[in-house]
Amino acid sequence: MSLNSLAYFAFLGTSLLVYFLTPKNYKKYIVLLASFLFIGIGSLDSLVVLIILSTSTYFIAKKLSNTPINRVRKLHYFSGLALNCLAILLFKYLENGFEGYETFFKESSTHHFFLLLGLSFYCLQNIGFLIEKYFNRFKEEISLIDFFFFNAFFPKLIAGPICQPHELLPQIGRVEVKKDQIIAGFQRILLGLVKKMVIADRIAPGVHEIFDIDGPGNGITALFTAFLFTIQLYFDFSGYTDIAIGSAKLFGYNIKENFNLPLRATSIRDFWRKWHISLTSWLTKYIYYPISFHLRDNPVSSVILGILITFFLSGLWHGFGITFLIYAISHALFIIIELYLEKRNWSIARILPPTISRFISGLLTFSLVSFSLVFFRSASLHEAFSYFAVLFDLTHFIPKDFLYEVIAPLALGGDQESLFNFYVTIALVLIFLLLEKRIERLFHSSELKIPIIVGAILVLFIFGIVESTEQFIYTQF
Amino acid sequence: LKDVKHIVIILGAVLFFLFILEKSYDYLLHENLNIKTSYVVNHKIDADLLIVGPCVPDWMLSPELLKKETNLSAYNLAKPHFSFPDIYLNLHLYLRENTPPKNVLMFVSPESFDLNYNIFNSYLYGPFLSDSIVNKVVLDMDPDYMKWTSFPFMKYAYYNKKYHFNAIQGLKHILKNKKSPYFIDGFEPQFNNWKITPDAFKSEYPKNYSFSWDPKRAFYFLKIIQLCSEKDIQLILYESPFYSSTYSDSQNRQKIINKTKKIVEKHAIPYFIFDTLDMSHSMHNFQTSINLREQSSIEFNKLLGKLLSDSIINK
Repeated sequence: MSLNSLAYFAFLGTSLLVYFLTPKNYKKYIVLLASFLFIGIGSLDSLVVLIILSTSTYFIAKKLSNTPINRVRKLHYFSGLALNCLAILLFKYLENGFEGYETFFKESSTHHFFLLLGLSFYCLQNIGFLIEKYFNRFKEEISLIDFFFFNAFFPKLIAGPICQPHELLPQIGRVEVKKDQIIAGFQRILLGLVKKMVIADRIAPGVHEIFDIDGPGNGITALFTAFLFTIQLYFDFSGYTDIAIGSAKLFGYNIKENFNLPLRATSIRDFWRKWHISLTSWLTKYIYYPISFHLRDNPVSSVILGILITFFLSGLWHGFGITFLIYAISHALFIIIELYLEKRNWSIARILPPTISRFISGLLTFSLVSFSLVFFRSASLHEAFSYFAVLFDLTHFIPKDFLYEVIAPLALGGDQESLFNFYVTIALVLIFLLLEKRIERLFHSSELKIPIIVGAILVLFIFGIVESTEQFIYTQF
Repeated sequence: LKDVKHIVIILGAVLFFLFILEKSYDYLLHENLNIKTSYVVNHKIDADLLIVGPCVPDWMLSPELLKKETNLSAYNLAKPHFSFPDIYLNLHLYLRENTPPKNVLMFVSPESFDLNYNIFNSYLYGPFLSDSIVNKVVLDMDPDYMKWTSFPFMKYAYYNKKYHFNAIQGLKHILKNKKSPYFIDGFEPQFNNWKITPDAFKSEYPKNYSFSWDPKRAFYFLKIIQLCSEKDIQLILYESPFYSSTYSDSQNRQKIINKTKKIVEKHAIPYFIFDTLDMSHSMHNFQTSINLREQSSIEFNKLLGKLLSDSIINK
């Protein structure tokens, strides 16, 4: 059930109705029931696997709490970690073998995923929970029901945000739905729908055409398409997150933010502070810090190895494909170079006025992210390199007929109607990006803004892509 | 009470604006002279010969050239990607406002019955859904779309990418008080200098392509025959030349043609197939496997016009 489908909103509405009619003490059971139903409707296998993994993790963690520090405790701890790591790896392998996500983008209608909804997201939560319990950082005793809730809570199940134990578990069964939360939730859902249906889904066909069908014919098309894919991915994923956070708010729950204007980042480190925040903070806390701590005697290698291993695992988490690994490792290298330059005190901010240096840094960061995402988006390494061969072929960078060779392929046609639609899409993207800060502030507010709501609904109806529901990209992970 | 008031204000405002938008789009799309369906509904064409079908006749058949041979006034109502349900609806809407033509010339080939070629263009009928026949056919062909159409503006919101440009063009036509469309007789020549390679032709049809026969398409094919018969219109079918090597390995092209012939023979409908012309053998006469280039198209118009004139019209 896609989060922007009518079925989802019917499901959400019905769940909320029952939730509000249920006495306070039983509300969490209603949410859990709805979550199980949500997963079960998607695939019964997913529900069974979630219950098995959550139950095993819960009881292993319970043993950790009750056992003094000894070998048995360590054994329990590592068996819990191994169980969840193996589940992720097995899931990734069964889903797509050692390939990239060719079939997701190219043949989504005929490809049968080995579908286990949200597994790689809740397994990370399980691992986080085990670590917190092992180091006694999360001392609260929780019930199995609460732990099921923690993993299965349906708004965030399929594609996060990934919650850490202290972020969600203490809220379960203790929340009270207030009017301002309902307003904030509704406005966030609306923002998510606009991002997904008005921006991401309008960009998607052109990007699909260039990446999967025609290929970029020249450098400028390759550059432009790489930029557009970055924008598509951002609006798609952050749109999903907005709907998830908004839906959770309607039940009174606050879940972690996942984005903070990442396309305005002025360095790769800054980008990762603003992009997929829940994954970054999980990786930082549970992978990077422990590695750095263990290697603390050698500060340089602790940082470099910490970054490389963290990003390697992040790539592996996305999939077994070599393209994902290169995508992730490239970011690690960018960060290491950034740290080196910083250490040497080389920065354009020293020679240029702040506004210009910020603009150049922003553009450079956006370009590097877009180039790395070519690996993420390409079906194979060969395809990615072919793409770069065109991108950096400066002899054919700008073609003679710009309209026919650059705009028309992205617009899916050179006729007036296709070109008009493409220009509208670009205008919508630019307007949104230019006013992004203000738009985010308005929609994150818990104050009812009637003209904004009415305006957003109208924009959704006028420009949103309704007829074909594109899958959210991150639901495949 | 204040909350209820807010909800009512939001819902009321949204519904009000959507209602205004729907009415505006209804009007603007009706007034767009370049949308053939709108044009024939709002203007008297009263052609003697009406050309219908997908891109092949739309891009290739010139009413002006055909008139020279047949002496019949003609209008080209064909549109790219049109399938039989589209043709049926456009014919129905044309006949609603115009005198029935003496002849309807329709392109029919094995592709016409195959779902891999052409589509049903539901979006074209947004402004005409109040017509019961249009409503029924769109419901039959695109029930998902029809589910939404009872909600204000959703008949345009659902396929909104297909409407904005046309609505703005409609506004331009109103403001400029335009009287005739860009293509006056409906003929929309698309003679591009596309690079032609044997591979490009091959890619249009997979090796050993086998055509399928969609029962729904066949149903609307019969509906067209029935409509023409009711209105006492002589329906004429034709298939224009195609690049001969395109179908050389097709498993069942002839089978589909024979099946079609069997149907039309029952209704005494002539079906002309131009599969033996010399021009079929040279790749350079084509811009796609079934669309001729400009010069060969002119030749074909003359040939077709003469054939119609000799074998049907003058008889």
